[in-house]
Amino acid sequence: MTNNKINIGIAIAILALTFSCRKVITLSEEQENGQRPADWTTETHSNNVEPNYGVVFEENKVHKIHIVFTSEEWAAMQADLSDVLGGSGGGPGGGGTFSDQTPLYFAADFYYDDKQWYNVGVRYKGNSSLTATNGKLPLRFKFDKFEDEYPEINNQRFFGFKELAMSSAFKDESLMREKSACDIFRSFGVPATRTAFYEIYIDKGTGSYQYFGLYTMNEVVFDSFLKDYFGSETGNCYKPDGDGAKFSTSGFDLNDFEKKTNETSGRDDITAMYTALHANTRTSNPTLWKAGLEATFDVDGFLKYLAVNNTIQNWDTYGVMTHNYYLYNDPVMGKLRWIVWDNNEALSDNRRAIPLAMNTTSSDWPLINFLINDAGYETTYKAYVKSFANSTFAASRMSPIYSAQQSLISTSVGNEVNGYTHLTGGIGSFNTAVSGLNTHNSSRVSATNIYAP
Amino acid sequence: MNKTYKSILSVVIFSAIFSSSFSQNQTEIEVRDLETWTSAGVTMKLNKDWKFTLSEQLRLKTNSTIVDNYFTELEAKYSGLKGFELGVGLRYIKNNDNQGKIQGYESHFRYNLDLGYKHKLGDFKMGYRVRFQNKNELGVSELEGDEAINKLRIKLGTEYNIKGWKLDPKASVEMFNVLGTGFDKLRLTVGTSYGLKKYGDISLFYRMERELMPTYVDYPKTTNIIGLNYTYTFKIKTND
Repeated sequence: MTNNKINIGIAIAILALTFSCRKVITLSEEQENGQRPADWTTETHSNNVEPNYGVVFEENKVHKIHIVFTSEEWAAMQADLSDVLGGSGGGPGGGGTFSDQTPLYFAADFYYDDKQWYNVGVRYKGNSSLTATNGKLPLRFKFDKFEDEYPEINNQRFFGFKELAMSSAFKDESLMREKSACDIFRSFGVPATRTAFYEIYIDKGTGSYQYFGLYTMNEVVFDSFLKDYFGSETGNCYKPDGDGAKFSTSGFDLNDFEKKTNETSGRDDITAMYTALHANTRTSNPTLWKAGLEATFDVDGFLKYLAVNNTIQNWDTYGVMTHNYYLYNDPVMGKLRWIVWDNNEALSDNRRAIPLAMNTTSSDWPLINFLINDAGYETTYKAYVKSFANSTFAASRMSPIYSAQQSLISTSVGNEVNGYTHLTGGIGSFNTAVSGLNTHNSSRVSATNIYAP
Repeated sequence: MNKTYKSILSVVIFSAIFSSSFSQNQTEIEVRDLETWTSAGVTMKLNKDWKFTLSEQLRLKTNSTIVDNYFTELEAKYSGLKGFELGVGLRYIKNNDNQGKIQGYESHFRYNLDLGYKHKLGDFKMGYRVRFQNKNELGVSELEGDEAINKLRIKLGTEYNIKGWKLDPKASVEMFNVLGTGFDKLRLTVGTSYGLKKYGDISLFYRMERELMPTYVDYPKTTNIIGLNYTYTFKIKTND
C-alpha cells in the first residue's frame, strides 16, 4: 500500500513535469504571417527568403520610396544629427578627421510599391556628405532595428535585405558616379556592391511628402553582399577607418579595423597581412616576401582594383584617405580580399587623385608603395590598366551607358528642388556633368595609353 | 505500477527529444520551458535595521539542461521605517547567449532600487514591493545595438502562518513593466522556507512566468521554474 502511494506520487510528479517541460512549436508560413502586420508576406517582409536583387536592384528603372515619420521622431533625428556634427572627434571635412559619433536610428513607416514596412530604422550616414547645406543627406535603413519595441516586426526584411544604404550624390552633379563606379568595378572583376536609383519622399510628420531627391541605393557589404559576391559570409569582414587603415608602421592599430562579422573573434588575419607586408624579406628576398604576402592577401585582386581605381580617379579612399574600403577573409581563397566602398568622388579630375604610375605615394601607404616598387607587381598592374582601358572603360562601352543612365534619371533629377539637391544649376548642371563624364572617360583612356601603351 | 512509471518516463523523454528536432527552415517558437534556479548566499545582519546579502545563483534553461546564466549579487536592505523597507541590489551576470550568429557568454550588469512595505493581517503576512531595475550589457555600446533596459516591477506577496507547522506557505504575484513600452511579464510564485536553526534557511518554490508581449502574439511563452535557495545568516555582535 505504501509502495503504491509512493508510485502514484512519482507518477503525478512525472506527469506534472511533462506538462512543465519545454515545448517548441513550428509555425507554418501562413501561421507565421498571421501574426504579422497587414502587408507582411514571406517574399516581401520575412527573413526566410534570399535577398531579391531582381526587385530591389532592378537597374532599368527609378524606384520610389516613401517614408513617414512622426513629427517627434523627425525632430529627434535632426537633434541627433546636430549633436553628431557638433560632437567630439572633429568636424567633417577633407582632413581625414570626422566625427566619431554615428547617427542614431529612428523609427519610420516605409512604403515601396504600395506595400508598407513597419517601424523601419532610418538614420543619417556618411562623413563630409553629412555637412551638406541642404536636406538631401545620405541615409541608412535597418528593417528590424526596432523589433524589440515592436515584436510583430521581428526579423523584418525588405525583399530579403536587412540593411540598405542610400547615397545622396554629394558633390556629384551627374548623380551617377556612385552607380557607374560600382558597376565599372564589378564589370572588371573587382568586388563592389550592387546599386540602383531611388527617389525618396519623406513625410516629416506634417502629413505631406517632401521630395528629397534622387539617391543611389547600395547594398550593405556585411548584410547581403558577402554571400552574394563571395558565396560565403563566415569569414572575417572589416571596415578599416583611421590611421591604422594605412597599414603603415606609423600608427598601425588593430582597433582601426572594425569587425563587421565574427565580432568576438580576433584579428589575426590582419596582423598576419601586416606582418607579411612589412617583412624584411621585401628587400632581402622579394620572391619570399611576395609569397608571404600573397598567402595572406589577394594581391592580384588588389592590383586589379588599383588599376581601376587610379584610372577612374577615385581619390577618396586608400592612398589618400584612411577609409572607404572593406577587407573580407574569403574562406574559399583563404586570404583577405579588397572591397571598394563609397565612390561618389570617382570619375572626375581631382588634384588629390593618385597618378597612374603611383610614383607620388609614400611608404606611409605601403600597400601601394611597396607593390608598385616591385617590378613584377608593376607589370601586372600595368597590364590591368591597359586591359581595363581597352575593355570595361573603353569609350565605346561607357558612352552608351552614361547616355542610358542620363535618360533614365533625367526626370527624377529635374524634379529635385532647392533645399533638397546638390545641383548648382538645375537640370542644366546635370547635363553638363554627364558630358563631363564622357570627357573624363576619353581623357583617362588617353592617359592609360601613355602609361601602358 | 512499475510499467506505468516506465511508460510515462518514455513519454517525457520522447517529448523532450521531439521538442527540439524540427527543421531549421521553419520558424520555431518556444512556448514553454522548465528552468531550475539554485542559489546559495550569506546574509549579515548588522543590526535590527540593516542587513546585507551576498549570493551566487545558477539558472538552467531548456528543460534545465543548459546554463542560462549565473550571477553574483550583493544586496543591502534597510527596514527601520515602521514596516517600510528600502533596498538596493547589484548583480554581475554572465549570460549564456546560445542564439543567433554570435554566441557565448555575455557580461551584464544590473542594479535595482526597492521600496517595500510589510504588515500583518490576521494569520497572513502581507508584503508589497516596487522595484526599479536597470540592466545593461557590458562592453557593448548603444551604437552597437545595446541599450539599457529599465523596468519597474510591482509585487504583491503573502505568507500564511500555520500554527505548529514550520513550512508556512508563501505566494506572490509580480508584474514587470518595461519603461516606455509596457508590461512584458507576469510572475506567479508559491513556495515555502525551512529554518535549519543556526545553519541557515532553505527555501523551495515553484514559479510560473508568462510573456505578455511575445514576438508572436498568439504564442506567449510560459516558463516553469523550480527554485532552491540556501541562505546562511549571521549577526554582528554588538556591545549593547
